[in-house]
Amino acid sequence: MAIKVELFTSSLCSRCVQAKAVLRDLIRELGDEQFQLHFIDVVENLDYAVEIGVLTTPALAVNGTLICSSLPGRRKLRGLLLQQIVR
Amino acid sequence: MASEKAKGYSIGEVTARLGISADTLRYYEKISLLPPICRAASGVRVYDGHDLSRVRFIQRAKAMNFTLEEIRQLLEMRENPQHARKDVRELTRRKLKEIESHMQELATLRNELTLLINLCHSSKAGCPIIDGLDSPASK
Repeated sequence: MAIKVELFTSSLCSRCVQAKAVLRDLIRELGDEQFQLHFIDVVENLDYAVEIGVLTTPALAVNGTLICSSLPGRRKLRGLLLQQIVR
Repeated sequence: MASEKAKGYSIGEVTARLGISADTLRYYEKISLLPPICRAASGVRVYDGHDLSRVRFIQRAKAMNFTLEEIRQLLEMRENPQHARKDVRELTRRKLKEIESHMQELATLRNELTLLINLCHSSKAGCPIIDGLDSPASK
């Protein structure tokens, strides 16, 4: 079953644009078929973002659980995604 | 608060400390939410630390919309928890659950407002929330 990856972003968040690009790239590298990637705008999905525990953007959740409240560097992010595959 | 216990306070000092009116204090005494307050030789009321503590409890309970009757029972529990009546213990448990639920709601609201403030800070072009409110789509 594909791993659900949700990146919480907002439209005027400068770090979010970069985070989207890095995440797309990493998922392509690790295998698209292993992941379901969603970009969630926090303002349009405020209740859901708060429920997950998002306090700032960009934030990353995997299978409905917040794993990063601020995105780490590419290498660490790759490691986090790999851990999800191994589980 | 330890220093309050030994001291006596006039009604004016109590109203200033607790942000409560003198009329309300006298009313609480009239309906026995407060025990009869000690009087000085001149007849003026002298409140002690125990009275202040009781009034603070009443204020907190009122802020949670507890009824005066519920507050009366909780004060009974407060005075002697180990010997409280069964129905009073039950009321205390129910009120505790209400408060926990209320705290959960407040935590959710706090998190929502924290997220909104952080979104404003992270936007170079200004606050996305306010901008969103001003946009034609939101009207």
